[in-house]
Formats: sequence, structure tokens, C-alpha cells
Amino acid sequence: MTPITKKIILFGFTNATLEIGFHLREKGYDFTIVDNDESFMEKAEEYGFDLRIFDYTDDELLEKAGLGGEVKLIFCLFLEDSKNIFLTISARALDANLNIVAITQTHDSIHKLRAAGANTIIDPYQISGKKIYEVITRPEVVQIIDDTVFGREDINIEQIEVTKASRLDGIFLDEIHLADEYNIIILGIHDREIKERFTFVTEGLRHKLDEKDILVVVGEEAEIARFKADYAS
Amino acid sequence: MNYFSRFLVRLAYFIDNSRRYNKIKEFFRMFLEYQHSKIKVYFDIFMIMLVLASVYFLIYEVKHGTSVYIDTFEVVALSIFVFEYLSRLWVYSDCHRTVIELYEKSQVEERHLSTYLIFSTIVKKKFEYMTTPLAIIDLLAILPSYRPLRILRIFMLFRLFKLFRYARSIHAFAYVLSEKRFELGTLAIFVSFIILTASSAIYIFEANSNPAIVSFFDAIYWSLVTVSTVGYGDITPKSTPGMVITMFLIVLGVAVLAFLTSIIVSAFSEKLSELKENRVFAEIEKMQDYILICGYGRVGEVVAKMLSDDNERIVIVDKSEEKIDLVKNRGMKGICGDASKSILLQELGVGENVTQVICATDSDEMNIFITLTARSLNKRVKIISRVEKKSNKKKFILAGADFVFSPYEIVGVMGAEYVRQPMAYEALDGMLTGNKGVEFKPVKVLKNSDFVDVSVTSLALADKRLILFGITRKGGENVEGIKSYVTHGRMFYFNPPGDFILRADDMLILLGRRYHLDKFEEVMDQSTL
Repeated sequence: MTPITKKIILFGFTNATLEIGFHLREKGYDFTIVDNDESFMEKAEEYGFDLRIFDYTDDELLEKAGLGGEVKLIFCLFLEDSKNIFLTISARALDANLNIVAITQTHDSIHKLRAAGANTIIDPYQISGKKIYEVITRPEVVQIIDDTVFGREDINIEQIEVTKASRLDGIFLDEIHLADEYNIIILGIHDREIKERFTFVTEGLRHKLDEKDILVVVGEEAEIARFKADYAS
Repeated sequence: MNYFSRFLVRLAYFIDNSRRYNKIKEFFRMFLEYQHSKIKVYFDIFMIMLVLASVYFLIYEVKHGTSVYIDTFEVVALSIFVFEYLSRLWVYSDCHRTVIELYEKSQVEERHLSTYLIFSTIVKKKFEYMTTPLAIIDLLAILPSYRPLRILRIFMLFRLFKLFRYARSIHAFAYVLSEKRFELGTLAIFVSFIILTASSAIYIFEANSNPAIVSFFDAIYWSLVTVSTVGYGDITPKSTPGMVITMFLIVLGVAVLAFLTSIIVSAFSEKLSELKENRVFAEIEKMQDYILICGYGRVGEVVAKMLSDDNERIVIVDKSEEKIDLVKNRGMKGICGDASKSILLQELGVGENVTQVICATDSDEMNIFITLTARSLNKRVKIISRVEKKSNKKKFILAGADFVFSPYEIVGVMGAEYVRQPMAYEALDGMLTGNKGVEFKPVKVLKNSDFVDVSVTSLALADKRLILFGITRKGGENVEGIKSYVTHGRMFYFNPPGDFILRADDMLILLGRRYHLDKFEEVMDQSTL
């Protein structure tokens, strides 16, 4: 078997795989899909996806395929939680630094996947349920999020890394008065030193920005670019 | 069409347009017909009391004779019964609607509309009501009070049967038994056959030798007493053949009783779940403005939990009994059934009581079917549907869904976002799932509050730990330098600058923890005082 040279692998040929695949292709990322069912081959060719068929439960084959090597990120997208958990454990054992994203069908599996070593867990049903709830209770909000973050209007969420050279290094978060200068909103921050995870600014932390912190902002693409040019570089 | 029928048609249209008339009739219907009206419950209790009291006095009279008070009470009770009977007759059908329908039909078919036809149709409709069992009981409860018919006093007891009308459980009992009418009928024929044979036999053998059996009626009386295993012993067989018949009759009697009991018990155990369901249905019937969730899978579960935490009224329908048990254990209302059946949706009140229908089953065919059915029952109900295959989205909109979304589409966006910028993904995930406790909330700028005509800066939202995502304004115009676009007839301003002046009825789209959001809204409410 020839090793997979791409950095991203999507395991499982499912609806979720197709959706992620389309979006990744649109954004210009290269990836490979892996499944053990040959009957998907035709469909994959039809969509123009690079599908490899092999038994992913075999660690040797996984290693040969490139896990623990070139591959930096995998998605576990099977419909059965058990498969996703098994794959997560196998992959984590092969590569401690691998980024593993897993999809879950049931609430119970979330902590199992986390224990198995998944970095991020996508819970489509939680998101869907929450969305229906929002449609019922606050339809205007759903509309606006759909318009802006997900879609047609030119408003995006972006992350900006603080580098040593940037003007952001060493200043407090509340000292940046963005509203007057740039049409963007700072949503939150990811501090590599204090916390592993992302924190919203509404948590009220008075935070000093350091190198390698990551700011998450939302705004028009051009505005974000202008901000990046002025501050971050 | 002669002058008189023309007059009737005009009168019918006049009544149809009279709001007052319709209001009064509706009021009476509330008392007499609408199962879920509160007044009906009180009315029913009152009527039950009245019936019981009138029967009590009837019994009291037997030994103590009548008095002025009893007579007065009788008159009052009777007038109420008569009034009730007439009102029921009145609300059963709308005469004026009948006339209008007849007139319209005659216009379309270009036929002559005779006065005879009008009256005969109306009388036929009313007669239809008068021949229903409950109406006959009502009538029999009134008639005996008419003096020349005093002999029918025993029919006064029919008033007790009137109780049928006011108690729902008796309906259920009758319904369960009527389901087994074939078995019960067969048994009745069998029993009559036994009784007839046995009484004929005893009559032939003992009519001349046994002094207790004088007529054939005595023979029938004896066999019934024996077959039912009651056995008073006032008539006993005196000859050997008579005794043989008796022995057979006793054995058969035990068998018949066992059979009868088992029929009734099995009827009830078969219908038990249905009866329970009926109770849930009765509860649901009383609910106003509730949300119907079809399918209790993961999506349905999440929505149901969030909504019930908010004290929204919800009803869940699922095919699987197991899931409905789970729903009930969690203290919510659930019905086991196929939501794509229009009868079920109709019974659940999609036509009037439901404000939103959520189609959350895992099959597109099923969801689209529910969408279509719900839309055909109610034009205004809001339908939210989940779709598995993105390509089917269009079909849902065509079927009448207001909002369609696919779980996997969101996954696609988010998965790609994770690859591109994992931290932005975290923010997005936090906003979409609410897992980090931060959520969006629209807050309206109330008239007369302190927030009208002030700038965004003076709200000091950052100190209140809130992020202002944007503002929507009705009839707003584009402002230089602010990103804005029109959504749902309102202008949305993204991230308005500090000197942006708020107006009444603006909607602030805020992001923050629920506690802070609620607090902000509270301050807004209080400042209007």
C-alpha cells in the first residue's frame, strides 16, 4: 500500500463525510477518505473524492497508510459510535500528537470519545436540537447567524495569532478599542499558557496578550484583513 | 322561489352575519359540547347534582308523601331539564347554515327552492339528534312529569341514565364493551337458547306436578335464577328429570359466567393502553398553544429537554413505545403513534391548538409526510423540519416547511472550519451548542425605557459582560460605515459604532451568559416604570 501523503484523513464514507469533503475542497484543502466498504467506490469517483478501501481496524495498515507520519488530522465520521471510539483509540496509540475529531451519535459517547483521546467532538444532534430550539424561541437570532457566520453576507469568524512581532503582544485585551477603528468584534481568546480551551471575552477575564495567544474575531473580511495588517503582523 | 322562502333565506343570511347570535350560540356550545371548556366541567357537576337530588326526592316521596318544597324543586329541575333539552336541540345544528347551503346549492344547480324542502331538511337534521340514545334518555327523563303520563313515573329513573352524558369514564366503559359486541352477542344467543330449552323442559316435566310452576313465566324465571348460579330456591325441581335438567343448567351456568367474565376482562386489558392514551389525549385537548415534536431521537430529545426546561408546553409523538415510556418517565407528555397519519395529527389539534410542529424523525420520507399533513391541516402553523439529504431541502420547502436544516450540513461547515482555524471553530461551537454557557439573545429596546435615544457606548455593555453583535431596526436605512443588510423586513446593523443612537423597538442582538443577559433585560424592563 502506498502511504497517504495528505495531512487530513476522513474515516467513514457517510453524509457527514461528504459535507465536510465539499467544504474542504471549496476551501482548497487536500484530503483522503478511508472506508472498508468497496461499494462506496463508485459514488466517491462520481464526486471526485480520493477514497481508499482498507481495513482501518488493523493497526499495521493504519501505520502503513501514514498515521504517525505525514497525517496531522483525522476525522472519525462513522455512524456507529463504537467504530469511532475504536478508531480513536487506535489512532491515538499510533500518534500522541495527532489531532482527532470525532462525530458522535449519542450523548453517552461524548466522554468515551474524550477518554479514548479525541481532541474535539462534534455532536450534530446537539447542534441541531439547539438550533430548532433557537428557531422556536429566537428566530431572529438564527436568521442573523445563518446570514452572517454561515453564509451569504460577508461576515466571517476568524482567528488571529499573536506573534512576537505584532503590536498585540503585551497589551491588555480591553485596551484595544476596536469598535472605533475597525468594524470587527472580539469574541474571545485562546491562551496557551493558562487554559487549554477557548474563552469568551464575556467571562470577564482581564487578560494580557502574549505570544502564541489566539484571538477570535468576527467581522467583514476586509476589516479583519486591515486589522491583521495593522496589528498582528 | 316564493316570497316566504325568499324571506327565510334572507333571514338565514341575516342570522349568519349577526355577531351577537353567533356569540350566544358559541356560549351555549361552551356549556354543552366543547369537551375542553372549563365551564362545561362545572355545568356537568351541577347537572349530576340536580339529577341525584331529583331522584332522591322521588324515592323520598314514596313513603313520606309530597310537599310544597318538593313540588317546587321538581318544577325547577324539570324546567332546567327542558331548557337543557331544547338548547341541545338548538346547538346540534345551525338551521340558518342549512338554509344557506340549500340556497347556494339551488343557485348552482339552478333549481327551485321550495319552502317544503327547507323545512323538511331542517326537521330531518333535528330529528337526527332526537333519535340519538342520549337524546331519547333526556326526553324520557322529562316526559313522566307530565300529569296524564304519571303512570310512567318509573321512567323518572331514566334521569339517572342522564348521568351518562356528564361522565366520561362511562363512555369509555361502553366503548370497551361495544368492541366485544360480537362475542357478547354470541354469548347472549347461547344463553337464551339454554334458558329457552331448560324452561321448556322443566315446564313439560313439572308444570302439572310442581305447585311452584304455574305458568311458563315461572319456568323462565326458574331457569334464569339457576343458570346465573344465584339459586334462590323458591322454585325447586321435584322430579328426577327436573333434577337432571337442573344439574346440566348449573354446569352450563358456571361455564357461561366464566366465559362472560373472561370476555370483559380481556376487553379491558386489550384496551387498557388505549384508555390510558385517551386520558393523555384528553389532557392534550385542554392544552392551548403547544409545540408538537414528532420523533424522539437525539434531535427530538435535545429540543424537548431545552423547551421543557423553559416551561414551554410540548407534546411528543413517536412510533416506538419504549421511547414514549422514556418521555413519560421524564415528566413530559407523549403519544405513541405514527405522526404521518393525518387522523393522529388532527386529534392532537394541529388544526387549532398547535403553534409549531417539529419534524425530527430520522427519515426524510417521514418528515416530508408529516410536513405535508400538518400544512394541509393548518395554514398558519410553523413547521420546522430536519432533513438528512441536503438535496431534499427544496422538497421540504415545497411541502410547506418554514424552516429546514440538515444536521450534516452544519457538520460540514464546522468540520471545515476546524481544519482551517480550530479556535474559531471552538467559538462557533460554543455559540451554536451553548455548551460554554454563552448564548445569543435578542433584547428589545422598550418604549419609555432609559435606553431610548442613547448611544451604544452609554450602555456600557462590556462592563455588563455582554457583546453587542448587532442591532435590527424596523425601517432602518443604510448608514455610511456600518455593515448592514435587510433581514425579515428589518435592517440589521452589524457591530454598530459607539455613537450609534438607539431608538424604541430596536432589537439588540447580544451575546453573553444567560445570567447577564437576563439581568440586562431586567434593567430594561424596570426603567420603563
